[in-house]
Amino acid sequence: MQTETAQLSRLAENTSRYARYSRSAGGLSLVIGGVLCLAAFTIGATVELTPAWRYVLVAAPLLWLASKELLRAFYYQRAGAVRERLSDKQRRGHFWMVAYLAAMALLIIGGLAWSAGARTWQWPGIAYVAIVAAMPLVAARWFWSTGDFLVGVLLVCQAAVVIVGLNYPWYWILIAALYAAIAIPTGWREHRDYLRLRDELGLRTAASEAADA
Amino acid sequence: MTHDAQDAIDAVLAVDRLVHEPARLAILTVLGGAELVEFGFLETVCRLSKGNLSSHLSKLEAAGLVSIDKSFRGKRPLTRVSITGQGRDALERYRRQIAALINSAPTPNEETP
Repeated sequence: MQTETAQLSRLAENTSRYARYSRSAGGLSLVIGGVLCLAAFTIGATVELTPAWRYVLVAAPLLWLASKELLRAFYYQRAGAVRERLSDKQRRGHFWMVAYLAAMALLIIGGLAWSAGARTWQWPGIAYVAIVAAMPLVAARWFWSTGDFLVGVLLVCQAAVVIVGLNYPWYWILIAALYAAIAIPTGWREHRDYLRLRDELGLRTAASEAADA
Repeated sequence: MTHDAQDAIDAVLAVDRLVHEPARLAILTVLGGAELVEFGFLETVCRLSKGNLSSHLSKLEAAGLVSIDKSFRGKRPLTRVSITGQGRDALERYRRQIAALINSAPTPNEETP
């Protein structure tokens, strides 16, 4: 009976580990986010930003979010979606992170409306406002870990700044590099953990059987 | 029969049989580790057939231990299952009972000839 109890505990633990890939574990998407972040800030500071480059940099956060969703649905959770059960600490952390971003977004938009007046609501000011206003909403839906927060906020800020024809100065490359240095190893470690978990849960066998059928 | 043996038998008889059944116990254990689980994942990790899994889920739902949400993703049916508060309590109570039983059982060295 002790063996069965231990097996059940392992099953519960493995389910929790698998469920993490629905929210707080990004795996390869965090690696992609880190690389995108570093690349976006390097391009933004060193390349002359033509309209084409600007649209590429604006699309970077969308590309990252798409990679997150696709990897979750078709790779990490292809055996069936399992939504992570958050601890109270995680829930509080997420709430305060979103609240902080919402307060920042309000401050930025308020400050802009105060200083730029009617120009705020004309192109490209309105695009800037839309991106800044979307940041807390994006965070509420997708940013469940520190890595997501660091990479996501930088990418969204970069998108907002380049759409109005500005760019971050070169030293932001160092900040992006620091964030990438946190995100890439974390994402890679999560991915390696998933590969072990896949074998423990027998998901690789199940996937090949499904493919054969 | 000694008092201890009687207590042990009472403890075994007090175990919730709905939860004690191995397949249902595995289902509840998996559900306990997550907020929401799709049918396909339960089927894979519990190693149950679709029919068998459906039958166990129906029993658990009737007892109020799980809640089942059925919808469609495109044209494909999508079944998502979550454990209820009552289910979580039942699983926790079951774990405590089993742990107490294991602790009260004599180890091989303590057995009398």
